[in-house]
Amino acid sequence: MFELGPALSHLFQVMRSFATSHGVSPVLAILISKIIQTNIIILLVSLVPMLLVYAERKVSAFMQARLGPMNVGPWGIFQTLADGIKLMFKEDVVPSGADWWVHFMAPVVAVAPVFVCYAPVPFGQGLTPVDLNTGVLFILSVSGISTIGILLGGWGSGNKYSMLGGLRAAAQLVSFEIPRVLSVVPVLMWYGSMSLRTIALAQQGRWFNIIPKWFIFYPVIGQVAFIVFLISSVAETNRTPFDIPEAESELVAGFHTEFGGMKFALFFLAEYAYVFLASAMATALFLGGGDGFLLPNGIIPSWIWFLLKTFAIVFLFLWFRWTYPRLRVDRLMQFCWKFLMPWSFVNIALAGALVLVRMR
Amino acid sequence: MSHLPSLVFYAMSAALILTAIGVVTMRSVFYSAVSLVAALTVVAGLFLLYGADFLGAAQVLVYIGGIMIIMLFVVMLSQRPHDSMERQTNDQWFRALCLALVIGISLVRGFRIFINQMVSTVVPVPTSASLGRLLLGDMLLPFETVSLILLAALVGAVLFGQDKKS
Amino acid sequence: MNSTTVPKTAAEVFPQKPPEKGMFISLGPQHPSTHGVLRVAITVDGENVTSAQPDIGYLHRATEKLAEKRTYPQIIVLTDRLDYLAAMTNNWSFCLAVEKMLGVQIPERAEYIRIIVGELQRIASHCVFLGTYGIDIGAFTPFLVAFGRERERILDLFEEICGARLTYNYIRIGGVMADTPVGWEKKVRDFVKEMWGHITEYDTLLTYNPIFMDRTKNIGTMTPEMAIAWGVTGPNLRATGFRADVRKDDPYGLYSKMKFDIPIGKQGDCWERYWVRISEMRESLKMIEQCLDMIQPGEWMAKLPKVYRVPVGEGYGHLEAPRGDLGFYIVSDGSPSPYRMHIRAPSFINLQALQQLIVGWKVADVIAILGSVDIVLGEVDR
Repeated sequence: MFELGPALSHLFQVMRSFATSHGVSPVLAILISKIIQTNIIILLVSLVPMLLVYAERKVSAFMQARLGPMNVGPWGIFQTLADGIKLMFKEDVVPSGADWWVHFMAPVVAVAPVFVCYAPVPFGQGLTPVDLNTGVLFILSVSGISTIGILLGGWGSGNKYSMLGGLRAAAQLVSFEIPRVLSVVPVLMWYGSMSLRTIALAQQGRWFNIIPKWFIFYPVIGQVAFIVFLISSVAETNRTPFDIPEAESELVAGFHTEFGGMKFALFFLAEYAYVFLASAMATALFLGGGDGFLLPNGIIPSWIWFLLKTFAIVFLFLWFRWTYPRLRVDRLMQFCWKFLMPWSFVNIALAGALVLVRMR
Repeated sequence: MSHLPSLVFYAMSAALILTAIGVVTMRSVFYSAVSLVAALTVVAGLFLLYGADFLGAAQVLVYIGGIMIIMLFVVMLSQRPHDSMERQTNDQWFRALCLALVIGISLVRGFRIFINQMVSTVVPVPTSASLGRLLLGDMLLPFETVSLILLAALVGAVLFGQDKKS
Repeated sequence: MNSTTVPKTAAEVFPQKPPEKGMFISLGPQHPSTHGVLRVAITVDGENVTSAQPDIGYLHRATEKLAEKRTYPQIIVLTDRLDYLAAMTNNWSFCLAVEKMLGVQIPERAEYIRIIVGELQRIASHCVFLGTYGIDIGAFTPFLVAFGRERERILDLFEEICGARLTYNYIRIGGVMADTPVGWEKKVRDFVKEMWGHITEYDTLLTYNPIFMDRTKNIGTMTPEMAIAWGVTGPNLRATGFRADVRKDDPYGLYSKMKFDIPIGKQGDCWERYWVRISEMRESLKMIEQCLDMIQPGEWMAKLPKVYRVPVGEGYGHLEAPRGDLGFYIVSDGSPSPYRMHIRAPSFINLQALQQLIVGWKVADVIAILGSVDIVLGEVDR
């Protein structure tokens, strides 16, 4: 019905021709329109965590027989805004034994990559900000840079226990990156492309007119890949049951104990932005992106389908956090290396066999 | 505006040279490691600038997301307070400088000759598919041999890293 | 796994210089998981704990000394504040000791009411344990259902019967403070009916949760010999497989008329200590139902003179509190105040076993083991 993608690109084209007709060189016009688009993405990435924090508080409240934020605005919808303003006004305390520059750069390095990672995600028809050929690889590699931010945070706290906490967190993140990347490989093998938009488009269509041709419905390889990807993403974003790095009731302090105010806000902005990014990736890779479900395509625009599916997976992330206790660090690592990784390899082998069958 | 690619290239090269100098001259080992991270990121950017998209992404994924993190682990766990008090140079710095200049000038001249023989493409094409075909087609034997060597290194590292149990 | 490195001198307990091997960590007194102001001084070698010394006294209020300057009815108010999560059983234990020395007969209705509030108190205390232990392990939701929902209902029932939510001062020498209000028994029956379903909810949510079991099974195992050697009582002892419950071994009140089981564990790990407490909640519900069926209208307080004197001598009364065997030892010299009162606090004695219990396990397990022993600092420090 109302497809944003073509409307937006038309709008930008109109603006560009308006600029060129008034004497601006075409290259400069393209540059400026790209800058505007970049700013829109940055705005989006900054707003999504606010929404997710509110969702988390409400969902956790309803799961725990209470109401959650209710005071600030109707049903408490302005609560996150109020919290953000409060965090902005807080004094920035840097411990005296800590390295000032590292303390400053840690949240920056942790949060900067996530803005870039939203570029190849297909938010709907014609709504991929930048359609990269190596979209999947790009997202997976750039999100690894945030780990350096966590290491810097551990060092910059000037505190032996926070440093150990940071090292533990980084070890967890690096370990779970492997099953995450490996679980995506069957999807890449099947669709022969690393571009998220191509993969999402290729999942349109129906079997027997009912079951959508989403990757998650493919026998065995779809389900295994989705589950491994989901679990690894929960671990990558430091969410319960894998949130040892952030836990306050554990013996070793987390890496972010010495960060307050805006720096703390940036770390958590990064976490929630990554949660949304992981859900968006799962939607594009396994759930068909903007493809409709049950209703014929066209009644509800593709970007709304995309958002619905992404929020369904975000809800899964929230549900896990408030239901499961925490895994112990060594059990967590064993789970990654001895369970998730072998199953990802098996999955790749199976997918390879299926690809061979398809070629015949 | 057509000079934009050259401008970007010179800016990135300057950043790379500065961070590389930072790696070897900084007093604190941790700062050197962080400079190395920055330098490798700029290298990935250079790869992307000239159309090696897969190589750039792989550089970030493997080097920065893996190797540099392990290196930072080692630096953070083995810090000693008097490291930042040590001299940054030793007595043979003049000989080292001459040797570096000689190597540098020879490299520049060698590259000049080599580059003049190359054809430059204007439009970058996606490289992932061709790289894949190459690795698993013509270069299959070297590829598998390299993976065997890596496996041997992995097993050796695990063996050497074990606690010596009596 | 558990070496006998029990320290002999104070210098070993609080080392003035760093240990030769390993790192010294101080857990508490400000820590979200120490269940009160407790400090545990741990020496760690790599990931393994090599020694653990509890450092207590942060909550000491000289209860035993204060008791020497108060009359017997006034001391009941002090006993409320010992194990503040199970005040009813504190009152009851003290009253048992004094009633034994006075030789007074408690009316039947008062005994039934005592059992009802005692078992309700046990359920409330185990709800707190369930909630806080879940938070220690990382599951936040059981706290809000057990502590925030069920325990609140029990506290509402207690508020109706005696006006207080935490420090009841309800069980008095000779009976109880007042009769149950109209309709109270029906409310208790409704609560008991609902609670059966809620305990099943806890089982689904936490008890058989694979991650919870992974973190608590085979962790912090205690053998029956070790438990008896340290004097551990209560659910901790029963989890090791040793059958000991004051309600069965030395019945007080009308417990000899109650039909109930004692949940016994097999290997004494953290999960079994948790499971014993959940099962005890079910047994308490059974007992409350039986009492509600058997209770008759009648007197709720024995006929005692306004001012009475406890005869010269000694007396000891003990009962099965939610945390273990709680006993009061009173030496009377004939005056309105006791000459000496000593409290056998189960949490104080259970806590000592930590010195052997934590050693040999990983740092990540310390919180799980500490939480499973279920101590309350009010009782530890008195």
